[in-house]
Amino acid sequence: MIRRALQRLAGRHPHAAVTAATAIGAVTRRWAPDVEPAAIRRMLPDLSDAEMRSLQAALWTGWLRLRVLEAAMSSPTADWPYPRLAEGVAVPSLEPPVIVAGFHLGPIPALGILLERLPGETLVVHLSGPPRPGLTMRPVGGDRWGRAADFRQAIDTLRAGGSVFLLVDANELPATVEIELFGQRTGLARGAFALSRMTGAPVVPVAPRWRGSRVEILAGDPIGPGEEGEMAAVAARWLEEFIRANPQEIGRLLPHGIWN
Amino acid sequence: MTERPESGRDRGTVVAAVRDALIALWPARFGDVAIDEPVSLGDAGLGLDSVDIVEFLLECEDRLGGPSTEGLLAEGPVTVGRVIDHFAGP
Repeated sequence: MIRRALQRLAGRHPHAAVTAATAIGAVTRRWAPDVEPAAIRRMLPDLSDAEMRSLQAALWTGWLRLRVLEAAMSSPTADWPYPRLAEGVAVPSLEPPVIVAGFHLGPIPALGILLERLPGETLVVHLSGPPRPGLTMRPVGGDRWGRAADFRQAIDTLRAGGSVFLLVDANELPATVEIELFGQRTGLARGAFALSRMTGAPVVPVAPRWRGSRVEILAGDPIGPGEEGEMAAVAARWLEEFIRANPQEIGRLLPHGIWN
Repeated sequence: MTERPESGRDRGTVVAAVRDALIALWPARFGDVAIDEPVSLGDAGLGLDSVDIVEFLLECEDRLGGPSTEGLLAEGPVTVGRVIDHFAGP
């Protein structure tokens, strides 16, 4: 019921809906569902019980806010492309050609703030989402041939001086490169790192995080070009550091294949 | 539609270039695998993943001087024979 009410509000007053979701999440924190505590413990084994409860409440709030973002982005009535930036924070400045590597972390739609500021063409390979001004949106291919076509378009975009965004924590795909994350062997999609090796463009890991009802976008140092496994290992270290510093942003990552 | 060369190349030259491209990219990978024309580049054949497939097609373009293989991927599963046909022309 709360979710539906927020989604209705998001269609007309999205910023107010984000603020409401933040407040409602805090008030209803005692109702926060147990969000995969075992998965959280695998990443953050040192959390006390109190910290775990606090994190689960934060994940609940994040989950509500993300539903608001998704509803607002797909609403025909909301004239609102993205959540507001936190006061005093700058959007990372990236120079094309660049491969922007995202993860299933935080308010992913907010990454559009960064992508729309990139000069030149920016290809966004994504699972779902509405068209965005200034971005070339490409739904990710459903099979090997479709993903190969995605990859080919990404190469052509980078070679023409443009940029590419894609999510790299997608290890259910066959094209992965092995990494270590929180002491466990897992995989990242190799596409971003192969693109770097083949085009010479660097990979920049990025992730958005909430700052109250507003957002901030963090970016790591450029990685590569270089050997795929070495680049992926650097990206994995950045991801691990981000999660340790921002565990409240892992809500979308938990059910994801990277942990399974 | 896939872009095709206007005039056909010698098919034997194309077959050799395609085979050489595979071996150059992955020297030890296809020792016991037949690289025949009906063989798929994907799971049921050479086992190339989506990244490998594009890298292989680009290598073929470089060796044979085009045409672009972009359209091949839009038409679905690609076999060694389709790659050869693409470069050898009608």
